[in-house]
Amino acid sequence: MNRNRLSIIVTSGIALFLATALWLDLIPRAHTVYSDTRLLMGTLVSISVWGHPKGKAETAMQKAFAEFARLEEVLSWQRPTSEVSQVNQVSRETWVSISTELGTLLQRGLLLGQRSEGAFSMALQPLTQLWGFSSEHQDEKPPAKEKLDRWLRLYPTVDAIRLMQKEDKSFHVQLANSAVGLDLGALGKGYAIDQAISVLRKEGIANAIVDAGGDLRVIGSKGSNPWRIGLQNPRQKDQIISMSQLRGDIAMMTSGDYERFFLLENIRYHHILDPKTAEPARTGLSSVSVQGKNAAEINGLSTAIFVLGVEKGLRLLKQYPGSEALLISEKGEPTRTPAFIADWLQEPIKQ
Amino acid sequence: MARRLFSKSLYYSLHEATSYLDRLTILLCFMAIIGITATFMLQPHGNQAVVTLDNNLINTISLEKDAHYYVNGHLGPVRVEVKNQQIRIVEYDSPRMIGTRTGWVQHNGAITACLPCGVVIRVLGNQEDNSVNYDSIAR
Repeated sequence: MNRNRLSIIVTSGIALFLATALWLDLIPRAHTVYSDTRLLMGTLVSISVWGHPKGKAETAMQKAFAEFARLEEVLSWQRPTSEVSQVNQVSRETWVSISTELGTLLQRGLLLGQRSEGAFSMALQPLTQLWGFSSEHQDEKPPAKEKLDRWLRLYPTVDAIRLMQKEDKSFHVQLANSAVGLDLGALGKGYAIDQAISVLRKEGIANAIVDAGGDLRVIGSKGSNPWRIGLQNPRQKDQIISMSQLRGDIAMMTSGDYERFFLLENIRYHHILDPKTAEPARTGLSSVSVQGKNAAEINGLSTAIFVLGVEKGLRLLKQYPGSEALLISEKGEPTRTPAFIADWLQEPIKQ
Repeated sequence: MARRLFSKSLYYSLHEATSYLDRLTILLCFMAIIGITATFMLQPHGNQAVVTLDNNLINTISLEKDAHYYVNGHLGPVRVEVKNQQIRIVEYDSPRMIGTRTGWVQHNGAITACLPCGVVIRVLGNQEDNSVNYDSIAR
């Protein structure tokens, strides 16, 4: 076979091989993001994967969703069979043995509770129920003042949740009284995002976003481009006020008064409750976004900063090196730490 | 015919370098490539939406024809409207009703949902639409 003949046949063979590989999705197509969404933990969870073949991306996403579903069964107090529900159901005088996973998460939350001087609490399930923010039919008026006062009298400012780790490393928990119940909403979603990212990595995924109702963590990038994250205007849902171009490994969690709320006589009643007043936190903020490495940690941190307000909140932030924040006041004024990644697009609409 | 398509020198060099069987193989290769490319180009996207209840597929809706449907959600029937190749959930109005607040959607991968109802609608297919500016919205 002469040289020309060989090169023509080899070229045709390579072209056919490449076309077939593309057809079978063995070669990741440029600019292709595979994504899927599930209704989990009471919110929409979306996973997007870039730069991997479709089959691999889909298998990894299914496994990550399965991890979310597993954690919902552990952490959600609204699921009667969950581990958290079982803790909430038992007598307040007894110690309850819990899994290492739940124990470790409670440990992290209790540390944040201490550092925030009680502004962050995982013990507010009875108060959340009183306000009804978690129920399917929101009763759009505040609970009776007597009920809130009774809760405030009962709720212990220290040791609401008692956690013990025995020598054999097993965890045990005890709740102080009937005003206390586990609600890991401000920590659990971030933890589930972290775990989903771990699953994706184990499956060999290097570029992805896991987004649970607007709280997210990214890994990698989209080739030479970063992931583009828009931040919603707290007072106008279809307006984006800033764009964060994220790459590498970074989480961004947001707490705001505009996702679950009702308005009564021009007063906004939202779901971020202050354990010191038993009412929605009123520190003049409408939104707090925190960026950092660990989604679970900054999930709780954004809630704590919202409850504490600008000054105390930024003091708390300093105890978490590597975390950055963007705070937007009810009047639309932003306060931003120097390394918070965002390109400002427009001023938030002022009230 | 082939002599008209290619220059004479290229035609003769190809002709001399290959046998009849080689040329047939090359022709089949290129026909296969054209066929595979056409399969990609003709893939339908963005003209259907899937409706799920508690993450289980219950219906696939065409966006080609204006219509309305009812889905039995946890809080009762949810009305779904299709108009001008867009789709939306209507009728409920509550802070938690993401579907109601989302309005019309039409891009590939766009989602509208009624969370308490357990109903999620997603426009097919699953590839990114470059007309959407953000990969995620923090809120």
